[in-house]
Amino acid sequence: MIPVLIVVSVLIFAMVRITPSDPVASMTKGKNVSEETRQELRVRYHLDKNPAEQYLIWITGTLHGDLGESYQYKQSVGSLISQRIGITLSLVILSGILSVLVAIPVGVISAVKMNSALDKFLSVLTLVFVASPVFLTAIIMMFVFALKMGLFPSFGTGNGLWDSLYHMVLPSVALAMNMVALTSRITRTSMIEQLNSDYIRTATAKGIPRMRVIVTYALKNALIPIITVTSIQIGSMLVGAVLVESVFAMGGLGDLLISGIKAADYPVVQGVTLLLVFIFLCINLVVDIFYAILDPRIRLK
Amino acid sequence: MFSVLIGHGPLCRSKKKRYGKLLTPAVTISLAILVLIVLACTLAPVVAPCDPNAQDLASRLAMPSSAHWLGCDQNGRDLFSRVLYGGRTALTGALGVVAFSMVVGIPLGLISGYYGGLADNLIMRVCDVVLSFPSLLLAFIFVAGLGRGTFNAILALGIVYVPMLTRLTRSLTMVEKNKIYVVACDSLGYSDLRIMYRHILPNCISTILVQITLDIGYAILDLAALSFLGLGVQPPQADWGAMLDEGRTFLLQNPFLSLVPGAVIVLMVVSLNIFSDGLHQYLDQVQTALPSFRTYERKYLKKKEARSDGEPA
Amino acid sequence: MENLLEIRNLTVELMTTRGIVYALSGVDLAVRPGEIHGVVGESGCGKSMTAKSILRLHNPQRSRMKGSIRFEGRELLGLPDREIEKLRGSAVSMIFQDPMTSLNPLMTIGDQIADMYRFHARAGKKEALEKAQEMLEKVGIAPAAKRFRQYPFELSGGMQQRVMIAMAIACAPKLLIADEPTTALDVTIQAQILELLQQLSADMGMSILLITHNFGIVAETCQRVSVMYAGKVVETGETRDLLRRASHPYSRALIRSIPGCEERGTRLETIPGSPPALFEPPESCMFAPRCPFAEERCRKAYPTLFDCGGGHLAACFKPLGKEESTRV
Repeated sequence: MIPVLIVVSVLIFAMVRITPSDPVASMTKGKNVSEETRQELRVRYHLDKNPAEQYLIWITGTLHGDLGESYQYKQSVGSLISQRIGITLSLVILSGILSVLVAIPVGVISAVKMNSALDKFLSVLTLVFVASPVFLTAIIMMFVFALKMGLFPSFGTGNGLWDSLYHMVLPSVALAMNMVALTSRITRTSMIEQLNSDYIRTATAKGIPRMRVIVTYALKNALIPIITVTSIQIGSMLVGAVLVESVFAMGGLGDLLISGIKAADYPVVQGVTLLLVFIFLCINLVVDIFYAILDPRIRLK
Repeated sequence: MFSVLIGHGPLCRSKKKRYGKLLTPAVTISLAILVLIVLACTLAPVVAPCDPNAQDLASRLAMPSSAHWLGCDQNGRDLFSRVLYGGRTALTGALGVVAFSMVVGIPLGLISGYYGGLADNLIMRVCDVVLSFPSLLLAFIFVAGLGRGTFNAILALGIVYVPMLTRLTRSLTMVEKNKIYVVACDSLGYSDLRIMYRHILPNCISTILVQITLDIGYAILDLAALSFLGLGVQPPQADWGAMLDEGRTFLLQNPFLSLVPGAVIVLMVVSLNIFSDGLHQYLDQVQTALPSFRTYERKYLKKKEARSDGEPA
Repeated sequence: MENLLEIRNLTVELMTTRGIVYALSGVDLAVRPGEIHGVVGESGCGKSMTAKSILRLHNPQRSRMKGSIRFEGRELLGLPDREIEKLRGSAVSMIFQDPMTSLNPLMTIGDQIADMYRFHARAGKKEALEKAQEMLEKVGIAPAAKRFRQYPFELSGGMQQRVMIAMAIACAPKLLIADEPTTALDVTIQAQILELLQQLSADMGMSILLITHNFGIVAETCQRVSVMYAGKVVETGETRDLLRRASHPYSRALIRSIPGCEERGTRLETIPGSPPALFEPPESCMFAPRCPFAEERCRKAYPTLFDCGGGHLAACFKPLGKEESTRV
């Protein structure tokens, strides 16, 4: 993980700077300033040094917990992130839990009742949600439940625990939909494969009750591909959160990242991207541990 | 004589009877929708009633009418025409993304799977790095570096799509590589290039093809996401994603502005998914696609009866 | 003697990617209490299908069964799912060809055996585990206490098959269906497993329906044998009797193709042609196209059973006489 992070940090650093654009413009917000001030700003943000030096300054700072200072906000990136990360993470975690709770039962039922009317209905429904981009789902939910019916707030994050949760309902459901659809489809495929396997035939021939065969025998074995896909899905949920935050004007990490990209605010883009990659890699690590818990073949090697 | 025996590996058996047809009702309908959308978008200059950028300020945010079938946007531009032109942007963009990933990803996967060793190691490490970015994030910072715009967004997504296709091709190649027909080709002294492209690739292509049809759908979604965030297609150019973004400000005044491009995206991607599924079931003869005994028997017997009825007694 | 298992005119039709396959078209089979009954035939002749039909292990959506399967006088075919579930593993159990894939890879073998007691004998968890350990010892897995906590992938193929057997006999079934139990194993291990099965059958008074394609195994272990061809039983009888005077041309050809039955130096016989595809229900003798003795009537109708005496039956119009068979 460490070597990957190093390579990723170099990559992020280099890519942000592929085309020589002048970040000074974003610092001064387009105002006309004297050449002296420009030079001052360049020195202040180490833009006068060569790229290798700049990278070293950034990466040593990062290792000490200092992600640099934002060009547009004139605040440390660390504090900008810490103000916003709670919103993004709670959004991702809430919808992650929600989608797993819905997707796995849906997938199992479709697999067990394969080719039935219920299965067909569910597969059409999930297909539509797979195809619906997360921002469209968010817009439609906002339109129907917030603007038309007025059941939920249409923007913002709210104050206090309950109000925040209330504000989170629509965004997290919208974000979960896509993942519910994908995960339940994988669950279905994986369950069908397991249900046709030899050891399930053995379990059936042993006279184990059908419910136990499905849940403890087949589902447990089916979980491995499900977890693989889910972990990749969580990655796209991190990005999906960016889109949902944008629809519901929640001011999370996503807004910070996008505005940073638009304003060539290098420290912000680098900081947020590195953080998201780090989170994603941590999730992958947790998934590896899950595999080991689940599968003795991995555990005992 | 030998080449007859070896042929192109399992593809020689392509005459074996396949169960079912490619064009099941669901696949036919989705294919028809795809053709319709693609045709309408390519022929946009002919089909569209208005110039997509012509502003008719009198009918700003107009609801659907006979003059403007789907109404007008905040600048009084005809929504129907913009959806058609937007489709051109979205579809060529998606095709560009997939084409890029194919041109780069498939050869890399073939090399990686066929040669193994150092080349494989190197290619796979690069893929690992790219895949350590959660989905679109890499595309985001590519755009951050390259600058916003349609072309850069396509390029960025193309790069993001490469590792998936590389990995798929690699794993398929590794399976094919050890089959007898490849060993036989090798013993006949065929060049590696010939073995890879003439023998291995045709045997993997059905799976790759299924993946590619799916990828086109995902590319449409991802490109729309980039445009939605203002990182891809820039206004005033028409594009489904960008239109969704522009329209959401006027959700209460005219919901069609967002919902119509959204609906077209969903329709397009659902159709691609169904088509891809059908292709997969047809090419790989998926067992689970079989109908139940009773359904099959009903159809089968009906056909049989019809046949025997036709014969003179 | 009352038969433990009696299959009458069993037909199974299966749905496949290439159309309906008439996998079994009228199988008659009887297993007596305590006997080891062999079923032999080429691959695809319906041996395993017959075995799976007894416990109704086919996908109910993709298959249809007709006829009658009686176990201890009780008809199994119309039985509700719950009833058949109770029967599986307790009165009739089954072991399969490939032990590697037939065991749940994520459960310890102890837990897998213990499940038998928990669901059939309603035993508590601790009691079930204790009994499972005993059962492992009984099938010759040592040290049971250690093996007990291991996962299937940590065991060899022979050990895995012993675990399968332990699981199958845990509830002292009256009938054990062994579907090619030794095909995936080494020859030396094969002999051990067969010996174990014979010993268990004798100890517990358990009948075994032994499915195999190997006549050698039948000769060594089975009291009676049925020969199957293209979805039908073509000949049944005492193993010795059948081996000595096979009456159906197919059985005879099958016996002659066993290495070791002929004198040294003679060429091993083969059966010309290959078994028919079963896309149409059979109307005449299915072996006729490959049979050297076939005549007009063989191609027109299905032969009735011919009684060769001593419970030895053959489905042939012109069963081979004694003088011809003695050569075998």
